[in-house]
Amino acid sequence: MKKNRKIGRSLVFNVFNVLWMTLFAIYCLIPIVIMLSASFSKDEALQQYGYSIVARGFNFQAYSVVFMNVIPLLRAYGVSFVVTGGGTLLNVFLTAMIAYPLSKPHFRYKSHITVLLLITMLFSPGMVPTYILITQYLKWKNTFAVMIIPQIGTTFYIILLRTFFKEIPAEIGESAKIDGCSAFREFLTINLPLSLPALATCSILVALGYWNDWGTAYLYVDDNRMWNVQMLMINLVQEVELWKKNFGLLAGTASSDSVVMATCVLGTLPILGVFMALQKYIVSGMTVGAVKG
Amino acid sequence: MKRGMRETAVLCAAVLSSGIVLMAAACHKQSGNQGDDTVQYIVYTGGGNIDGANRVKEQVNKYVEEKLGFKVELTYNPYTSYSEKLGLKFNSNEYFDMCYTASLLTGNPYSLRASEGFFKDITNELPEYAPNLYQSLDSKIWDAAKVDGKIYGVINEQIFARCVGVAIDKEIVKDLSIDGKPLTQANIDENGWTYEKVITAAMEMIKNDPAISQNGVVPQSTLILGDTYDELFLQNYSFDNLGTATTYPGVIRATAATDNTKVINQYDTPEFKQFVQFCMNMYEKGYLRKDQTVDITENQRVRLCGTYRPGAESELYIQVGREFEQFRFGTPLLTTSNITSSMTAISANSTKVDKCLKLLDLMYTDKEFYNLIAVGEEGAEYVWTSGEMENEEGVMEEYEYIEYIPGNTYMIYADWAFPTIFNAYRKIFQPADLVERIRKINNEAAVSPANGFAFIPSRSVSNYQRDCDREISIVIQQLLKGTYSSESTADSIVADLNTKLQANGLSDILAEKQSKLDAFLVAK
Repeated sequence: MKKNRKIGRSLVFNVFNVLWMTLFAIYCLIPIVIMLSASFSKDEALQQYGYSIVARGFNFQAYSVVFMNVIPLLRAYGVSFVVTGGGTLLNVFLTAMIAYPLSKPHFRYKSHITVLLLITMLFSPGMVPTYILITQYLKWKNTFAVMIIPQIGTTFYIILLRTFFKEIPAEIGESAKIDGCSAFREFLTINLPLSLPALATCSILVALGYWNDWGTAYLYVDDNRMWNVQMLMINLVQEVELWKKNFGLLAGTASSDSVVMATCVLGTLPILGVFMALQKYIVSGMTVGAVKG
Repeated sequence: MKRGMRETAVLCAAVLSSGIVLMAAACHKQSGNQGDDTVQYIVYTGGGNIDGANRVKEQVNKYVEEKLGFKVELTYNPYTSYSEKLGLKFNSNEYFDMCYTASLLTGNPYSLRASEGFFKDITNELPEYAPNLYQSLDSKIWDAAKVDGKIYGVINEQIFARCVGVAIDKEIVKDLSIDGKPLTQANIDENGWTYEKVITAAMEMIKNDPAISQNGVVPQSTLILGDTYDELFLQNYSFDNLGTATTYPGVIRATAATDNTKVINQYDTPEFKQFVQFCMNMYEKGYLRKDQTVDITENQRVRLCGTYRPGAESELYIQVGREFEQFRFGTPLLTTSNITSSMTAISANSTKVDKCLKLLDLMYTDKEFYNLIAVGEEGAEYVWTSGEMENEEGVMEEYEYIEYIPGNTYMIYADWAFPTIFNAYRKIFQPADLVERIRKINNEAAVSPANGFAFIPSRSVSNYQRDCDREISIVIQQLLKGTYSSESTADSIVADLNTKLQANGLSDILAEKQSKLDAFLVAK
């Protein structure tokens, strides 16, 4: 009897849980679906019915407007891929290098360094000093360096990786040392391969940060050939307004709203694909950091 | 022993890295190439594709080197990030030579920046190095650019004297009659018709025209109000906003016969109530739709152009594909804000004032150079073409004009951000005597008694202004977009707003504005 009641409660909980998560998933998905639908909708349909879940008057007009200037678009994708790809590799590798010694119990300054790192989480230097540092001392304006390096060494990821490294049995490293393995080799050939789930989690989050980062390009990139996809998308929306003003280009074809949505789709889809393919690592990695950190 | 060495190494590394940072800080000077011959010019752009900028830069440099013997480094900044970027450049002391500025440009307002010492005083150098530019403008125009009696920026020549412009589809104008008379500029001037009266008549006609409106429902975007609060309210009633943001409280009635230097709260006037009533009427009579989703360009029939500007019909034709006729309302007025609404200033750090001014003078005098830098190259950005249009006497005549090439790669589209828009090549349906007509309006316009005065508030009043602006902007946006409460009336909106303004330091703002204006007038 007691057992049946327990099963019944568990069933109610599961039903409620699934129902709630389904509703939440729909709530998250609707804006994306509306974005997709509006990007394929006809101008008149948007005028008459507004945004809808299913595209009305399905057409590719908005995309043809976006692809009118294909070279800047391809170049911006190139910049974004280099920054996201190169930046993620470098970022995760260096973050792991910082996290690794902090996971070692015998490292004397680990608590001091951790405190220093935590301070960077709480206080930021402010926009003007950062701008002075980047433009006047480091001379990183209009370079890949400004889009990649300042994001390296985020405290959150350092703590996440440190926690993971701590879980690796020290005996493995000790036996390698007995065989003559150096500290760097131990890190590279033993600890990194064993930490792949945590590294994958960090990589996805870091990659998301790089891909979606428009603020850096907005402030530090004057040369339009160095714009990433996000910056180009912002500009494209303005450009569409200019086309309307100066050429009447969109009259009777696509509305600026559908063009805006098409640009959003193009800016979102690549990273959405990566995220969906690797999402299981995010959950497992986050749990490592949260429960045992 | 080994452990001790490791600790020493860590400490040494920390000390060395701190030392390097401190040394770098000690050696820090302004960045930039202030030593060489290149003028660094930050160009304001409309935000389009400027992939072809390097090609144009090459041509610009060839031209400048040949004519003036130095080089120019153009940095293009789209309008959306302009204020933030310029703000950072100034605050970080970054080196550049000159940039676009304007009286009301957020982040880079001319008078404030000049008073803070970010711009170079060019009072003496201007007549020497840019004589053509300097002599072409009247002294009353240069007065507007003065801050504490000194000139800190070059005024970009355009229409300075502002009043309201309303453009209506020519097909509508042809059949429209008000009080039994046809709609003409002469009838507007003679009968004192207001823009409210004309727009209401035009929209009523459209509403009852089955070819345009189905069952009396006016299509979306037929009337475009836009963000025309400045023009519909301030300019239409000849209020001078004394060089501050147009929504800030405290103006003078510049063309009033008496008491025209008394600072008043414009939101507590019959004119503001009239403006509120006009916006509400547009929605309540069904001329504007509250549920408008998208802007349908080709539906436009009545357009608030903002400032009346001869030649605006040309831009409308390009955008909408329909011929419009533009009408003028109110008295054209010269104020500090109107005159200094587009300027080029030289950075206080600049070591090349002479070169900057020579470059600006070249843009002012050389039509070919101006169009190269502002529009691009012939064949790449635009082509010459010909057409026919009616002249002043109503006779059709052939004329030549430029047409932008779609998809071109030098989309600056801010030709007014350079020393004179009057050098711009003619565009479709622009009248042949466009420049003369604009100059005539500028020369014959009434001048505000506060011309040359730009209010720079104390810190506390600056905060009050921002607090008031927050309340005012909400009301204005609600009126222009029709999102005000359905229970509101014009009286309740005006009363509520004024109560909020009083609570946000209105009287302090008015008192400080008045005292600073009085001091300016005494010194003048």
